[in-house]
This record gives sequence, C-alpha cells and structure tokens, in this order.
Amino acid sequence: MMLALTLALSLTANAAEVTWVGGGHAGNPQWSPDGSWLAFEVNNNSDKVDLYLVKVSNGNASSPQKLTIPGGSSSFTAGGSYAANPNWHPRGPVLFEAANPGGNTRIYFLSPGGSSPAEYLNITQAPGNLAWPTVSPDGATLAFTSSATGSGDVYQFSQATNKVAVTVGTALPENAPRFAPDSKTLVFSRKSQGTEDLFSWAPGATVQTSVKGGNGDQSRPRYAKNEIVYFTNERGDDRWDIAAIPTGGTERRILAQDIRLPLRSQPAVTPDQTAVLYTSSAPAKDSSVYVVKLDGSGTKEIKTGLSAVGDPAVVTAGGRTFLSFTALPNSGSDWRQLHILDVTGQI
Amino acid sequence: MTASRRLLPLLAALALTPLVAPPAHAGDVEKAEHTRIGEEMRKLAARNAWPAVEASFKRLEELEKKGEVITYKEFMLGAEAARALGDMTASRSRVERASKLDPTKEALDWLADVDSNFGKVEISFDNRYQGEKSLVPAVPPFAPDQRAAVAFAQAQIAAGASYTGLLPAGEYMVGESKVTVAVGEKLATLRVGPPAAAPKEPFKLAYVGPRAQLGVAFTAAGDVDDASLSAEGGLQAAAFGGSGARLGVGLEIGLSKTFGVIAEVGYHNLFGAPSQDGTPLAEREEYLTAGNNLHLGYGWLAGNLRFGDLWIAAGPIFSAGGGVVTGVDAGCAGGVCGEYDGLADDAAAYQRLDGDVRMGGGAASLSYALVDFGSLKGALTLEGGAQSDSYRMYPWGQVAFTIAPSASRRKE
Repeated sequence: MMLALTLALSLTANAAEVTWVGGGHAGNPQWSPDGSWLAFEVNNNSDKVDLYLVKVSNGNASSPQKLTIPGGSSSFTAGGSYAANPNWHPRGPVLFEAANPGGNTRIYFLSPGGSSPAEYLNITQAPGNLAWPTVSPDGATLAFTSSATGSGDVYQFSQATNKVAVTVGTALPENAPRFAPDSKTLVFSRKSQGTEDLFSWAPGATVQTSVKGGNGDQSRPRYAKNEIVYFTNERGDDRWDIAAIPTGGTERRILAQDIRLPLRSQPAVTPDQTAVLYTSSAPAKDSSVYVVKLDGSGTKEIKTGLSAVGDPAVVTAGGRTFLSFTALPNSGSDWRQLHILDVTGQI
Repeated sequence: MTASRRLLPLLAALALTPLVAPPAHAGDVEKAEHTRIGEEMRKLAARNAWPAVEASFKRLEELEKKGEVITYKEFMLGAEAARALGDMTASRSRVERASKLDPTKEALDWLADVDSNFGKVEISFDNRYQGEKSLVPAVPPFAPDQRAAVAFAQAQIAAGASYTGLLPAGEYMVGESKVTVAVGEKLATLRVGPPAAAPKEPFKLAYVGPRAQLGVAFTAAGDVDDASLSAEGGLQAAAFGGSGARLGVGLEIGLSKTFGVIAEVGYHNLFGAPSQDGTPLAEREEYLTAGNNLHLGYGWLAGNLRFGDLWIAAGPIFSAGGGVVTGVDAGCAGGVCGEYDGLADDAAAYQRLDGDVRMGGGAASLSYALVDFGSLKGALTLEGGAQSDSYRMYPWGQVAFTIAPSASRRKE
C-alpha cells in the first residue's frame, strides 16, 4: 500500500494547511520544545493510527516523515498498526507509544532527523503494554503506564540508574501521568467505580494524595506553574470543561465550559504556562481557538475561519508564536487537517 | 543373450527417468530455508522479539556463505535487532550493507545518526589486572540505542572480555581508568593495566627514646688460661672478683613495636678484697693489702624483643679500662711470665699489679616494665654477660632499674 504523503501548504484564513493524499484525520499535534518539529497523528478511521513528524521553519512545514516502528514496515505488515501520543523530551527527541498489528503497545524513541524509531524500554525492563510516556522537565526521568500487572500502573525509568521502578501500583487503572515542575512529583488519573479521579504522588510517599474527585471524570491532568489543569465532565458525559486546582488546594475553578475534548492530549498551555488553550464544542464557536488566562484576567479568541477546530497546541520559536490545531475546512473535505498559524502578539 | 537384449533394461530405465522426481539441489534447500527464515524474522520483529530476530539473522548469514543473498529489508531488520540488543557495531555494519544494496534515505539517515552519536573504542585488560572490570558512563545516555550499546559493552567487560566496537560519544570509567570516546573515525584505546601499587608508606620508627640503667653488679675475673701465659705477656693477676656499680645511657630505637635496637655506653666497676687460696689476705695480717678494683667503660649494641612489658635484649659488648689487683696468677710460678720468675708464694700473693684491659663478649638482659613515666617506662632488669680479654673470662651479673621508651606512646 502506498502511503507516501503529498504535502501541500495552502492558506485558509491565515493558517498554513497540511494536507495529504490518502486521507485520514490529523490529530494531537505536539510541538517540539524548540518549535522546529511538530508531531501529529493521522487516523484513517478504520484500522490504523500513524504518527508523523514534520519540520517547521518560521511557520512553514516541510515534508512530513511517517514514523515506522521496527518490524512495522508496510512490506511486512498489514493494517492495524498504531503509533500515537507523542511527547517531547526537553532536549529534542520524541517518545511515543506504538504497536505493530497484534503486538504489544510499547514506547518508542526517535531523534528527529535521525534513524528509525527504537523501542525505548525492552520487554525485560518493562513488560506489558506501555502507554502515556511523559518526560520530566529536567529530562532525567520517563514516566509511563504499564499493563504488566493487569491494570494500568505508573512506572518511572531513571536515566541515572537505567532502571524501571513502579511508582503507583494499585488494582485500579492509572493513566496519564505528568511531572510537576520539580521533575519529581507526578499527577495522574485513576479509574474507580466508573469515574476518573486525580491523584498526585511525591517521592517517598507511601500513598497517593487525592487531588480531585467528585462527579464525572477528572481527566488528563497537567501542571501549569502552581496549578493542575485538567478536563472534567462533572456536568454530564458529553459536556467537557477545563478546570484548574491549585497545587495542594481543594477548590477547583472552571476555566472554560463546553470545550472540544482533544483527541488524546492534556490541556494545552502556553509556553510561559500562564494560559490554557481550548476550542469549543458549540457549533457557533467552533471556528476559533480560545486562550484563557490562569490568573482570571480574561480570554482571547483567535479566529481561524475553519470549522470544528480542535487539538490546539502552541509554541514559541525564534521570537514568534505558532499555533497548531486541527480543523475541517468549511466545505469540500471529509478529513480533519493540520494547520499552523502565526499568532505572534495574539496570546 | 544378444547385445540388444542386454541393453533393453537400460533403455527402459532411461525412458522412465523423466517420470521420476529429481533429487532437490542444495541451492533449492537453502533458498527455501532463506524464505522461511525471512518470514520468521518479520513475524518476530512485529512482536519486538529482537533476540530471536538476531538469531534468525545469524542463520541468514550462514546461508549467505552458501550463496544466498541477504536482501535490503533483511539487513535492515538485522540492524534493528542488533541495535535493540546494543551491538551497534553489528547494527551499523548491517545498515551499511543494506545501503549498498539500496541507498535509501532511511539507511543513509541511520548511518549518519550512528556516526554522529557513536565513536570507536577498544578497551582491553592487562593479564595482571585484578581490579574491577566495569564500564560506567560519566553521563548515562537517554537514547535507548545508546543505553543498549553501553549495556552491551558493560556485559562483555563484566565477563572479563575486552571490548572493541562502538559506544556513544562521551567519557567512561573502566575500573579506575578513564577513556573518552569521540565521534568519528578516531579510535579511542584503553588498556587497563594493573592498578598502580599503593604508595609505600614511609618507614616510621615504632618508638625511639633514651635508655638508661643503673644497678649493682657482681663481676668476676676468672683464672688465667695457662696457654695464654708468656714472657711477653708478663705477670698476670690471679683470679679476682667483686661488686660494683654499673650504669649506662643510650638510645633505643623501635623498628617495630616488638623489636628495637639498643645502643648503650656506660661505666662498670668492681671492688673486691684480694685473697689467696680462698682466704682473704686481709685476714692474714702479715702485710698491708690494698683492694682489687677494676673500672671499665663499655659499649653495648643489642637487639631488644618486646612482649608487652617483658623485654629481652641481647647483643655484643666491648669494654675497656684498667684496674689494680693484688696477687699473681699461680700459672706464672714456673717462670712462664718472664722476668718475674722466682717470686715467692707470698710475694706473688701480695704483688700489686695494675694494667689495662680490653675485653669483648656478649650481654643479655631480661626486663619487666613496672611504671610509666610519660613516654618512658621504668623496668626491673636482670642482666648478665661474659667477656674475654684473651687471657681469662669476665662473667658478670647485674640487677638494675632501667628506663626505656614506651613502645605504645610514640609521638607522631
């Protein structure tokens, strides 16, 4: 099957659009820390999810590179492969979860522009299906979840010791770990009795600290300076909001309501971690990206001229600020495309 | 039977030959095996079973020796397997061979990636090296292929083997030695020799200090050896003896806590009453008599064994001095001693003789430390010796109080 992409850049409103032959929904774009690369997923809505890297220079994307994991060459395998959930190491490489058809989901590593992805932890070091890779801000520790015990547990790999150790292991499934700015504390979610709650873990602690429970799911947390921001559907299954709760606090505040839940990522925050980006699920508002300040000073709207805008991500590179997002054109396409927009001075 | 009849079975056999399946050629078997292994590799790779992929690739390499041609994709899978197992040298070699078959961007990028992150190193150990065989990167790498490469080399080195191949650029400690691996063609070499001998501790005396002793001694001058009498030697004193003082000062140097060397000089005398045939001349009241006396200076060099508070010393001693003695040795009575021939017995008995004496011999002492004086100890000593001036023996014994350095209070 020919999977080569034909990348075309066109301007829709002020956004450069990434399109390709072969179809598939673009999703979950994630900027490299220096803003020179963008990783994104392409889901063909049937049996596979591919991961691509595209080099971006001054807001202009070059030819994307499809990441093919070892043993996953198209000549060797049929459909059903999976590569998703990219997370960038602060010093450049990208880690992501991927599986060959019928194989375990494992964590892979790639230095952009380098050779093919390599399995990051072998089956001996970290058995089971691995997911939710995330690297500490100091780049020294990788946290992830593993199904080795039957339910998802949080593990950490230390670069210094070259060893993997379970961090949070319970009979309940834990998901979506993220490091605090101290590179040691973790926040994660746990499924229990049909809902998802947030917990944090600190080195040396024997128990995890409850961060937020309550109605509905509290999901995909991340730190933004001294707060934890997360998605919540406490108002109903299909009504997602973004909330923030101070580290160590108990009272959450809602930052935005009726947002479009990103495909797989945590809430997007600005590089200075002072604001959260989101898109709206309301048809009347779904053509814009919104930037809400964490200090409550207001919300800014960035109009795109597109429809069903989602998966926002923002980065600062070379003194400019670039916003990536997925969206449907107003007409003429069945697939969600990837866009890059220069929003310097607008956030 | 005619010739045509004899040929009939042969012709029949030849006619039937095309109907019988020919035996498989060896090349076909290898080709089939190649196909099977190739499929197996692909399935194993999809399951990330890299050790098994590596084993399969090695079987392909065996087939290659028999003429089979490894394909680009098989080389790349072999490279993936070697990379996953940390054998970056083999991995790079396979990618390079793949790139020669088909210089794809993937293969060329891979080579460039390896060459920009890894360097060549040769680490070996001297046979005399007995230290730790370990490889520790100064900064553990984060990239999985780099970590695997370090682990691969670590395993070889820990097993006692040398390692020649690729390692991520950076600094490493091998035992106590450092090696820096740089990207590029430059080979970093490290031959780990036996660890440098520990710096020799400068010799330190266990103890050193003054030594002194003071005591009373009994000294005897035995009978003259008749064989030593001669006219040139003149008259020789009869045997004599007496008590006196013996005192010495010196230095004791502890080469260890249990052994020291004593160098001592001192003064040793005796005072005694002259006698004849065991009867003191003073009792005869025929003549006025003067007492015998001997005054010696001595030097003693001895080794001293210390067993806690018990000390045993022994060594050579040399004394020199002079004295005055009453009485001529009876051996001179026959004229052996020259012009003094013919001395009457009484004259011989009351003859005053003076002269010098030099004697050598040995002395030994047994001391027991009783008291401490700061860095010194006080001990009770029994000492004795035997010396000769070539005419006679001079045995002596002494009870003394000795002060010597403490072996356990050496000041640094």
